[in-house]
Amino acid sequence: MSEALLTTRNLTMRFGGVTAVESVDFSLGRRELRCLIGPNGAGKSTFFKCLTGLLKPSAGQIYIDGEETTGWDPHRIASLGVGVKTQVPSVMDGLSVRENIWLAAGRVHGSRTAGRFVDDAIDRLGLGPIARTLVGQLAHGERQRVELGIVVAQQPWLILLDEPAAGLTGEEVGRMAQMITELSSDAAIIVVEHDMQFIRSIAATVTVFSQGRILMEDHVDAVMADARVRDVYLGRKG
Amino acid sequence: MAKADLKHTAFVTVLAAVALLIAPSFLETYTLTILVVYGLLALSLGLIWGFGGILCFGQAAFYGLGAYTYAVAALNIGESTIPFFLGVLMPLLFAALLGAMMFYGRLSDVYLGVITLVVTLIFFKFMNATAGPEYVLGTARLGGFNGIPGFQTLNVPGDPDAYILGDAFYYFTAFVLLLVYVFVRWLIASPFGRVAVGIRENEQRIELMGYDARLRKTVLFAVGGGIAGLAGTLFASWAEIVTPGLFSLSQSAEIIIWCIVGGLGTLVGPVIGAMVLGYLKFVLGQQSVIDNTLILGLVLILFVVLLPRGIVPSLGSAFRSFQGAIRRRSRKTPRRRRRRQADV
Repeated sequence: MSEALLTTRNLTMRFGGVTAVESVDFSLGRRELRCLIGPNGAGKSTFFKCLTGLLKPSAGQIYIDGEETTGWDPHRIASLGVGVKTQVPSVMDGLSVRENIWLAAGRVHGSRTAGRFVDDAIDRLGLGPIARTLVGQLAHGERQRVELGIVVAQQPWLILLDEPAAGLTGEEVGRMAQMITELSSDAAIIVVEHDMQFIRSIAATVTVFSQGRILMEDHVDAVMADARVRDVYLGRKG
Repeated sequence: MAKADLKHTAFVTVLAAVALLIAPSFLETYTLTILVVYGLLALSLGLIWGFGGILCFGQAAFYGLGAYTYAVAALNIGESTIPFFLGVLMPLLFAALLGAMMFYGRLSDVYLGVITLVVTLIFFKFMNATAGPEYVLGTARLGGFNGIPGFQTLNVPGDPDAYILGDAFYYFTAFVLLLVYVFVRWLIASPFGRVAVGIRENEQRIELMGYDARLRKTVLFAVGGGIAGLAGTLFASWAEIVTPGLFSLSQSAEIIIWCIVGGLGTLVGPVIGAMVLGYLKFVLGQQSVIDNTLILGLVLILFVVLLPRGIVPSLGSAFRSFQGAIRRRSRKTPRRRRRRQADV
């Protein structure tokens, strides 16, 4: 437990009569790369939103780097050094790519030195040619990259990515996987994803959610081979 | 401020200063003064709505509160310097309090509109109901629908007998407008302002970056309230009477119309919108053939349908495409990717 960067204990989230996440005990090590999978409605996105502070859990606790963050507002959790990419790219359409990333870098590094980190993030994500374009004019794949640039520029030590490969072309998926592998050398990462091919390519440990609970936790190959996992994905009750 | 911003601000300020200086040769300074006050009031909403994304239906509340605060304080104190500052401070603090309540309560835009509107109406109803002698603040009777007349108007600081009136008051008001414009430009170009624009664009993203959007919106809202209060203070000195009409629904609506017509997302736009419509109202007020508000309503509809971005942004893009056409004709250079400019 002492090595864990993020743990949840008995984490529960109810919406009226529906329990979306039920008593989840979860633990993520330092610099670990973890994928969360599960069929629609399994509770992984709700779990994710509890971690980022966008939802306040009904019960249970969340600890990030030894500090209890249960019920904290998103900005407080983010300012610990947590970078978040949401499911639908959450970017600022009316601003340029550069300004988007500058705002992220400015909060962490201060407005005087932010420029350096902005250039760095733009380089890493290959956003140079579109740096001055308004984000609202960009294609979906580019917006995904801009949002990742926002996360990278904050230099977080814990990164939460919700469906980073969604809607990307084959080539873009490959680049995203490479990017995530690179990032995982300095930060712990949780990826919520549907695309098994993508998960294979980043070769991660996988936590499978089903009906609000953790079904199993293992390496991606073992998970793929598991009969129960196939059952929940096909909607059979085992 | 970046160099381009600085150049832009200096250009607009000098241009505006020249325009304000030569304006008295065409119009009486008495009329011009109120147009400048309207411009200042529009600027306050242009800032919080255009750059913070906060649509406040009750900017008139801060305007009226500034005017009333000045009037009450001037009656009690006499000399105008302290009342002048109180006229800014009081609405600023009130806006901070109201803003904190709304933003920390995570109210959505619709409720924000409703609450600001209702607050204005409460002021309106309350001030109308204060005709009785029991409504006294120090030596100042609130006076109900008759309002408060007979207070000390603006004087040279320290000398209550040296009134700033007529032309001098116009130049003072114009100077205040320019000063506030430069301040607001600076605020928008500062990291605080850039984050505010980020909040307008996507509040959740800003929160996920680790910024406290609630605090920042509250501060921005308070600054907007302070500027509206400043406009109210100047109005009080100009009109030499304050009445509950300052809090009226039509006053609130007018400020929003000024911003839409002038151009939201710019600072010059709302000021120009306020002055043009304010002048139109003044001219229409001198005839009785057709109802004033009917024409203003028509103007709003025409703008929403034909020029939804408002005067200044439309003029700006027309000017840029004209410039582009000339450049293409003279040099035949490839046209660069055009950026939407939202920072006039």
